Amino acid sequence: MVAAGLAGGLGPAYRIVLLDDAGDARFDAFYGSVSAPTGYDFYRTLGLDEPTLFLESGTTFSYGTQYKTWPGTRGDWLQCHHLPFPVISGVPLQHHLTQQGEDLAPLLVSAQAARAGGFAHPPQDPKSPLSRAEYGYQFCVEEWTSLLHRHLALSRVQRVQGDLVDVETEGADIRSVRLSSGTEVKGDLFIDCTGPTRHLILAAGGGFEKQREIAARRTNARVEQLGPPHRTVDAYPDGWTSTTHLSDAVHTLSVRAARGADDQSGDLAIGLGRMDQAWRGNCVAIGNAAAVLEPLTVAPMMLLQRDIERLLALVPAGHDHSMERREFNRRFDNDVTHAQLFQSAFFRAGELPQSPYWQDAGASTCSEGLDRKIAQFENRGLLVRYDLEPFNDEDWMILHFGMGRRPERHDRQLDGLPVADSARQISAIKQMVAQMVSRLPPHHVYVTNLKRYLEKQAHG
Amino acid sequence: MTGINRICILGGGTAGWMTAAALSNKFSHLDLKIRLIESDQIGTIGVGEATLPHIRFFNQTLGIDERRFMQATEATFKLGIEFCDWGKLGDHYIHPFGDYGLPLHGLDFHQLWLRLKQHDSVSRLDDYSYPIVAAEQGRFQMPGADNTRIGSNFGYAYQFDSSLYATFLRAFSEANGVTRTEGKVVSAHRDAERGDITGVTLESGEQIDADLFVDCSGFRGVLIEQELQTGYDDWSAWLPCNRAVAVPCEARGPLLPYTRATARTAGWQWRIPLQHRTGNGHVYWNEFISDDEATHQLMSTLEGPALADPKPLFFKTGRRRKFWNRNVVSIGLSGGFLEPLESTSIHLIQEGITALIELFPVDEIRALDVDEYNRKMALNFERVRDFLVLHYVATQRDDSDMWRYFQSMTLPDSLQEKIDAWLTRGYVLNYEFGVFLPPSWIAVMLGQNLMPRAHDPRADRLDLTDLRNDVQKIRSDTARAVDATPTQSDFLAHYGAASSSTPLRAARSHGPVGA
Repeated sequence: MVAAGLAGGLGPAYRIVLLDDAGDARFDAFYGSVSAPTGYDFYRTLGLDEPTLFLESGTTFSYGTQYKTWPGTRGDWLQCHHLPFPVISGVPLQHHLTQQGEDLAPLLVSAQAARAGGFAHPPQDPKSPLSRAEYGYQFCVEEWTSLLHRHLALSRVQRVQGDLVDVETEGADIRSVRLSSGTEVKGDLFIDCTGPTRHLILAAGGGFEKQREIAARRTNARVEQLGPPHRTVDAYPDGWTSTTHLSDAVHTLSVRAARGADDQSGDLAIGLGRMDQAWRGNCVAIGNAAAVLEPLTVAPMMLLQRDIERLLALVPAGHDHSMERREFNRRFDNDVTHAQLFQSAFFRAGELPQSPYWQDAGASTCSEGLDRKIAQFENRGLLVRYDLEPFNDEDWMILHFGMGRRPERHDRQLDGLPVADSARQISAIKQMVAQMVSRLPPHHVYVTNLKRYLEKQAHG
Repeated sequence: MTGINRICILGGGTAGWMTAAALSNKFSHLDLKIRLIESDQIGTIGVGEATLPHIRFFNQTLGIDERRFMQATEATFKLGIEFCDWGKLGDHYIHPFGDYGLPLHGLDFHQLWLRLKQHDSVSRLDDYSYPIVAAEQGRFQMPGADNTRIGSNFGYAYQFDSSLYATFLRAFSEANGVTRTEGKVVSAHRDAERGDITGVTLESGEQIDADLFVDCSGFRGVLIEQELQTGYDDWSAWLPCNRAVAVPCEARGPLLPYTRATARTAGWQWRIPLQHRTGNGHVYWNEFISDDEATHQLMSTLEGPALADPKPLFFKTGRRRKFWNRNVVSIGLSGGFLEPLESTSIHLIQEGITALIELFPVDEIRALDVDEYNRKMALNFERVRDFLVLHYVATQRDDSDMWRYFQSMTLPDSLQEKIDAWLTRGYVLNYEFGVFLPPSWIAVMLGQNLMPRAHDPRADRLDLTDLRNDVQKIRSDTARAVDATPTQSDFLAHYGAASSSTPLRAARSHGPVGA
C-alpha cells in the first residue's frame, strides 16, 4: 500500500524501490479482515476501487461487526458504521433515549440491515433512512496484497527480490540495506513495512513498547452462499474468534493470549504495542512495524491508512527531515493513543474472565482519556472528543450503548418538552428503519447482481 | 424537582445579555428563574465590536432576524480583518473568512501556489480569495449554498455597536422572562459547609439568592475572583499589551466590509466601520508608551471628528485558572482577556455560553460537569492565545522597543512548532477544536512575510502547464465573481438591513483629527 501510495502521490523525480521479501507476510493477518468507511477514497487512490475489489477478489460489504457474548455486556451488539445521528428539538439523540429508556440499536439502519442480512448502497437522497448508513469492506488481506502487486506491476515502482540480511547505519540514519542476493540498496528515506520484525526502525535505534502478546490462528472454509454484510466476533473464555464473510469463503481468526516460548500450537504470536517513535533518523515505520493493535475492530486498517496518509503529507521536501519527523511522530502518537482508547473501552466491561487473555487485556486499559470519555458519557451522555480522533462520535455512542453503558441523566432541555413528541419521533425513525430494512435484498443477491453489472460495464 | 432553578447573571454588558438571551431561549420550557443584575453606575467595556462568523449561528439559534438585528445595532458585514504594518512598515494584508482558491488534485491550493511561485511571477495568493478581493473593493453579498464554488466559499461576520447589541438582547431576554435588577453588588454570601455562593446583597439592601451564578462582571470578576479568589494565569509575557484607549469617530469614505488593525510602535490600533460611526481604539503596552502619547497617537489618526472623549481601559492578558469554580461560571472578561486583535472577545463569550448550555447542571453541580467545562474553555483560550502571539512574532519589525522585545521572546512550544512547519514546507499543523482553521494561519504567516522554503512535494507531480491553467482559471473566476458583487452600502439597502438613523456627527471637538 505504501508503494502504491507513493507512486500515485509523488512525481517521477522520486525513485521508489520495493524490497518484496523484507517482511513476513503472515503477520498481515493482524490487520484483520474489515475496513472502515473512511478507507473508500483512500483505497481508490491505491488502485483498489470498488469494481476492482469485487470483480477481482472475494471482497464483500461490511456494515460493521457484531460482538457476541462479550464479557460484562447484555447480549450482543452490532458495532455499525453510521452517519451523524439526528438532533431532535435541538437536543442530541442520546438524551431522548435516556429519558425514555430506549435502546439505540433499533434506530441504526446499518445495524438493522446487517442483522437482517440485507444490503444496498446508501442512496444520496437524505429522505431515505438508508442514506444514514455507511459501509466498509470484509476482505482477505492476501487477496488485497495480490491486487496491489498487480497494480504495482504497471507502475514505476522498482521491485527487488531477496531477503534482507544487513542494515548499514550511521547514527540514526540508514545508509543502505543488503539483500541475500548480494544487492545493496541505498536510499534517502527508508520505509519499514516489515511488520513485527521491524528490521529497519529497530536498526535506526527505535524502541518498541510492548503491552501484551497475543496469538492467532486462521482457518478458511469455502461456502456456497455469501453470508451477511457484517463480521462477527464471538467472545470465549480464553479470547475471541472473528468470522468474516467473503464472496465464496468464510475466514475465521481466533485470538488468545500468547503462551510464550512453550507454545507448541503453531499459532502466530505477536506483541501488541507501539514504537516510541515511528520515524527515527531517515526511517519511517508503517503499519504493524509502527504499532500493533489487535484486529478486534477496524482500528488496525484505520491506523495503516493514517500512517500512509501521514507519510504522503510529510514526504521530506529537503535533506533535513527534522520538522517532518517531529510532526509525523506527533500525529502518530495521537492516532495510536486515540485508537487504543477505543479498543481499550471494550475491556472496561465489569468482571472479565479469569483467563490470561482477558486479564492481560483488562490490565492494559489504564488511560485518563478513556476514564474521561466513559465517566462523562455515564454522567450525562456527553461524548468527549479529542482532536482528530480516528473513531467518531457515532462509533463511540454505538459502543457505549452496545456495551450497556447508559447516561445517568439526560439534558435538562428535554424536561420542558412534551415527552410524547420525542417518543413519536423516535418511534417514527424506528419504523422507517424497519420498513427500509425489510425491503433490502439479501447481501448475496446484491453482490451477485453488482458483479454482473460491473462485468457488463467492464466489457463495454 | 431539580435543585438548580435560580440563575443569577451578574453584569449586563455584552457577555451578560448574551448569556441571558441564550439561557432563556434554550431553557424556555423549564421553570428557570433567570435574574440579571446590572448597574448603570458601572459602565460596560464593550471592546468586542467586531465578531467572527460563528456569531451568526448564535443569532440564528435565538431565532433573531438578521435584518432587524443589523438595523438595531448599526451593523455592517465583515469579510475579514486587514492588518497594516505588521510584517514590516508599509505592508498590509487581509485575513479572510474563507478559503484560498479551491483544492485541486487532492492538494491544498496554497501548496500549488507555492510551487508556481518557484517558477513564475504568480500573483499574490490573495487574488484567489473571494472574500479578500471583495473586501478590498468594498463589496459584499451573501455566500451561496454550495460552499465549494468560488464566490460562495467564504463566511461572514458583523461589525456592530456592542452596547446596542446588549440592548437588543436585553429586550429579547426580558421578553423571554429574564428579570433585570438595577443595582450594585456589595457583598456575597457563602454556604458555610460547601463554600458555594448562596446570594448577593445589593447596595439597596436587597438580597438575591440563586443556585448558579454567572459572573459577567468584567475585569473585576466580582464573584469568581473577588469572592472565590480563583486565581488568574497571567499571559503578559506573551501578550504584554496592558492598556487601551477607545473612541468613536464620524465615519468617512465608503462602508468597508472589514476591520482594520494597524501596528504601532507600542501596540496596535483598531478601526471598525459601523453604519452610523467608526469605532477606534489603541491597544498598547505602557512600558514603552505613555498614556498621553498613546491617546495622542489614536486621536491624531482618526478619519473623522471624535464623537466622545477617549476612554481608557486597563487589563492583563490571561485567563482565570478555573472558568467554573464552585457554583460560579465566569463568562466574558471575568473569565479572561485576550486583546481583540482577531475579534475573539465575543467569540469566547459565545464559546463559554455554548459549553455552559451543553453542561448545564441537571440536578446538582457535579465535578465532572465543571471539569469538562474548564477543560474546553482552557483549550479555547490557549489556542486563541497562540494565534494572537503569532502576529507579534511573525514580523521583521525592529523599529521600537516593543518589536525588539518580541524578536527575543521564547514562544510557547505549540506555536514554535507551527511556525517551523510552515517555514519548512508550507505545512499547517492542524487541530479540530479551536476557532482558527488553516486558512487563518496561512493568511497571517504569508501576510507577515513568512515565506515557506519549500512546498509539498506532491505538488510536483502535476503538469506545470495544466497547473498554470487551473490556477489562472480560479483567479479569473474570483475576479468575475467579485465584479458581479454589489458594494456593501448597496447590498445593505437592497437587503433591508440599512439603519434608518443618520450618521453621527460630532457636537464639539474631542481632540485633534488626523489628515
